[in-house]
Amino acid sequence: MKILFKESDELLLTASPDEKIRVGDVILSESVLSQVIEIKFLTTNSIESYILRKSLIPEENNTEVVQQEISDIMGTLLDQKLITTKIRGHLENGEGDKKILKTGMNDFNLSREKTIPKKISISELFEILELKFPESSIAKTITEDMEFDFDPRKLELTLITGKKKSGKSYFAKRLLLKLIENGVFTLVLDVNQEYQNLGVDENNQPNQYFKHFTVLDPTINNPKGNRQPLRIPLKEISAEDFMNLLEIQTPPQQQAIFRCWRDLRGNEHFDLTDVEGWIATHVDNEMVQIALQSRIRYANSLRVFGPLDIDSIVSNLKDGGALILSIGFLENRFRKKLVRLVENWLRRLTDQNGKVKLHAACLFLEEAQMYADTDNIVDLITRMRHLGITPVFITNDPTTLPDELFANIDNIISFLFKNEKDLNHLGRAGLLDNSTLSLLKTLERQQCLVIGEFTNDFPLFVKILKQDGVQMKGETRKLIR
Amino acid sequence: MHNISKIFPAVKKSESQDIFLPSDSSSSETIKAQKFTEEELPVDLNVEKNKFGEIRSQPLNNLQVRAIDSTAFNLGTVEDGVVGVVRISVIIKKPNESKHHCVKYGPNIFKVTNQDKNSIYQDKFQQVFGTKPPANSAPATYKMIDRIRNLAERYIILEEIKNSTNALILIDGSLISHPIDTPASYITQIIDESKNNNNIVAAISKETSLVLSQSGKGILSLCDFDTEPVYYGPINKFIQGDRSRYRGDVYVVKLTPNGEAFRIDIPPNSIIPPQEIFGLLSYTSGDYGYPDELKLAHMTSVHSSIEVIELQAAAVRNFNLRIQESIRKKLFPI
Repeated sequence: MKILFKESDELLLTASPDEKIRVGDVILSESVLSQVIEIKFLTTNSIESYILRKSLIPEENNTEVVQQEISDIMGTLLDQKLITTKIRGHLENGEGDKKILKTGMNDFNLSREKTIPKKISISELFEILELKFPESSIAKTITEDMEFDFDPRKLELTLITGKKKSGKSYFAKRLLLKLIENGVFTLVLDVNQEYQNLGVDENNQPNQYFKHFTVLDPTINNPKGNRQPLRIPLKEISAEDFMNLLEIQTPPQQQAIFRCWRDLRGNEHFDLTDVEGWIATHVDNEMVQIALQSRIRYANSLRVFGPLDIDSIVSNLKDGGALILSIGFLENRFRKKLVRLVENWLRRLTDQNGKVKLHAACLFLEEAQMYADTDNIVDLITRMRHLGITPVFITNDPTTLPDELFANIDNIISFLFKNEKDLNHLGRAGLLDNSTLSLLKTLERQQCLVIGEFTNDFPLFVKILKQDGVQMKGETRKLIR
Repeated sequence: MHNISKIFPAVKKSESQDIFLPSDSSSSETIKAQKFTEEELPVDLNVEKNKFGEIRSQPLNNLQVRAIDSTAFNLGTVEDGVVGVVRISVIIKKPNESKHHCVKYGPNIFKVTNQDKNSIYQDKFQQVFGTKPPANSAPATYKMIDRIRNLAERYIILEEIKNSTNALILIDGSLISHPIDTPASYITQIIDESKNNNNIVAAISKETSLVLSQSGKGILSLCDFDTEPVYYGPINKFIQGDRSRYRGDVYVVKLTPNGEAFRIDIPPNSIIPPQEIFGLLSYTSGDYGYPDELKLAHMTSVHSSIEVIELQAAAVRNFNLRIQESIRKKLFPI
């Protein structure tokens, strides 16, 4: 390899066809560390005119009798590669022989004549980045097949994204299992019924994770296996919330509900039967009473309100488990209310003076735009983080997420994207330049770009490995069986 | 396909590493040494009194066209010699086919030194023409590259004529003999073999040293005022001096209405009359009134600057050379 030129933060190199260079490879030129982001043919005017001249005669009509001694050299310049690399920083000497990667370039100490750029191995790179991974990891680097893993200690505000069927949900599930293995409690807002079968294997038999999962399902009335009915306890919502959800709008009715809540909220639990009883005994106006009773019957028919001992459930999962909230079948207004409720739960669960005393928790928000508004998200990524809540956003449309999220993001794990709009949006996180992000277009399924805390801010291309013994597929029914 | 490896000096590594000063790759070919084949002779031709004819383009029908051209390039110099490369192209247009075929012989690299140039020339001349050249007829070493190109091209021309039938054979050059590089016997063989194989040969020169004695202008100026395809000649009998080397009938021809004039040599015993040959040539001619096949033969034989760089690398490897930048480049880098 030779240096052709440097432009801005890019170093352009030329390499012969037999030099095995791949996108994502890391090149060391003197002390400058750069990463390959594009490989093209090196094209000059003379190469273009040469190719044009060759095209005068169709290839099939062309016979060449080339001297044997030179035949292997002829044509090699036509395939000479132009390698665009992005400068990631420079190496400085640390303690002992250790090299430390620092951003930017201190000195322009490169020579086109003398510098010999060389590819460094992933293991050398990991050493420089101080990344160490266990032998059984959930990913491998695309080049060199080196073990790569996602250290749960580095899981901070994280975005997992990529177009549909690119592998992002698969990775999110692998990450969730990893968190469970590391004793982390995770609450998952599951809109697509993706996470509900992780406790069973490919033959629908409970696997080693079974007891670490509890699924809250609004479509069932009684607990079954690790599934429990998802209900909203009335004690955990305000009178205003209740009235909004049931569309109780007249002042006499609203006053009655306010009074009801004031009287009942002292109880450890109360449910619709208690509210109905209170209305029967405390509302004198017959019209108001009839109207409210009608609303309560409607509330019963929704099968949304009811007891739910979230503290007990989480207590069983707090040393490594996941609580899956299956919210796909809920009406949107209930979903949105549930998100507020989840925030309250997490505040209470992580309260060190509370009953459960969760040290920290992770929150998986799949397609958050479907149930969380900007305020929810901002709350999660600012205030909730101080309570030890680590949000992980999983979406196939990053443009739906607010700017505040991108300004605070710590990790991006991005799978394939074809669309420039999505790529540009990811660039708002400031973790990566657009030209590196454009490589997302070239990824295969299950391959992703990881940048942030997980990689010590060095963009790495990895492929997610297959998980055996766990039903990783979602519940999408195919049109044809 | 013809085996031309015997025409080139064998590629072998010298025992000690030699210094190599590569040439500038941007120039694409060496100038063909025309002066060895043609001298500046006056032509005493009065156009008014001598016959000329109009040319009517006529299709090739069952004739195939085979055009041969070659180029050489001086890849660089070694301490006591040069390293060169030669490529010969044959463009073939078969009857009733719209696309051309191309057979390229080369590139072939070779090294010639002051010490071995005479023996190489003797040997290769014998290989191609079957006779020995005059003693010490090898030119200056730097001219040997073009001389070897000439030998290789002559060899391919003859092989094409011998191995083709019903073909219009187009040669870039003339049918002039010269003991140093083209013996008369060779031209005779070309003429005879063509006739035997029912081939038509036309040697086309873009330049000529023949000069009209009256005006002092080149003979191509005969066509200066002609707007339609036309030919003048044969002009052999008007050439003053030793015209015995002019083995073909020499014509000045303009093949297309807006084309340039060329000197075209036709074997005197051609199987069809010259006027018809020019009609066929006119049919194959495109821009500037030059036959497309010959144009393609030239274009496909030229070494591109990219190839030259590759060939220089190949030379370094095959001849055990070490590149040294020229003092000129060091002194005047810009």
